[in-house]
Amino acid sequence: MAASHTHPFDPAGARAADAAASRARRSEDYRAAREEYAAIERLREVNWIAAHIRERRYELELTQQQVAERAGTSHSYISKLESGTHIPTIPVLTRIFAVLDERLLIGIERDTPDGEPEREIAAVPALMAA
Amino acid sequence: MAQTQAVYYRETTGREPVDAFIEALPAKQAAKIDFYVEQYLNGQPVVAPPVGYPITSQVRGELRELRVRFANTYFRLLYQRSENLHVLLRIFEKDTRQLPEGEIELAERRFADFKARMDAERRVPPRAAGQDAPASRR
Repeated sequence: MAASHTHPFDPAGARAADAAASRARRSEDYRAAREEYAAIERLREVNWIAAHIRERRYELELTQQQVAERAGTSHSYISKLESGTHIPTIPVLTRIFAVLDERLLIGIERDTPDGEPEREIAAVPALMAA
Repeated sequence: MAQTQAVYYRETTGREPVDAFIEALPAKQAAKIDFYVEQYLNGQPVVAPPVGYPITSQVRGELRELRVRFANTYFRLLYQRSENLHVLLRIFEKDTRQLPEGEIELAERRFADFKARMDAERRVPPRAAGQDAPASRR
């Protein structure tokens, strides 16, 4: 470590990466959480919705089974959804987000003559969410 | 290419308040904040613009905030660039619509202290001697 990072009165304290590595050495739960966030970030690159659901469920400390039961679907459905291999229907997705204390919205975008795309975003119509 | 590095602001007592805050959190919350710091404040090209909203946003002047949501808790980490360093100044749970003025002022005071002490500690390079000395001194 550079001398400028070891003097006790240096205003530039420890590198954040070093402190994180120290926490990882001391806590198994911390290591597991770092691995989970790294996996979620990799998933986000290919399937944003799957990554979001996995992250939200993880932070609310809900199991896939609990989400499945409350959303009226199966454990395997949630598992496949979170792995990014399953495309959910709007009604199921609406119910999953409700379990996660969030609301699914639908957005549309169209090109305009001035080059700036126009966007509209709205709640899922009740008929589609049922 | 030079890259940014995130470091904690250190008080004159040696205490690092942002690290102390993170250290006291449950493991999962600490892991997410550390992950965001490493992902968005570490290892960025020095010449690159800041990561944009909603990950970070400008607070006032060159003071910025890293926004970390964990479940229904909203953390705000106030930081500022100093050359290649991202100096982590203040972190707190946000429970009001606007950032509290007191939090912003505390971060600004800490950065001013950081700069003042960094400037005060700059070392004068040792005078060249021997074969490295300027020709007129040989």
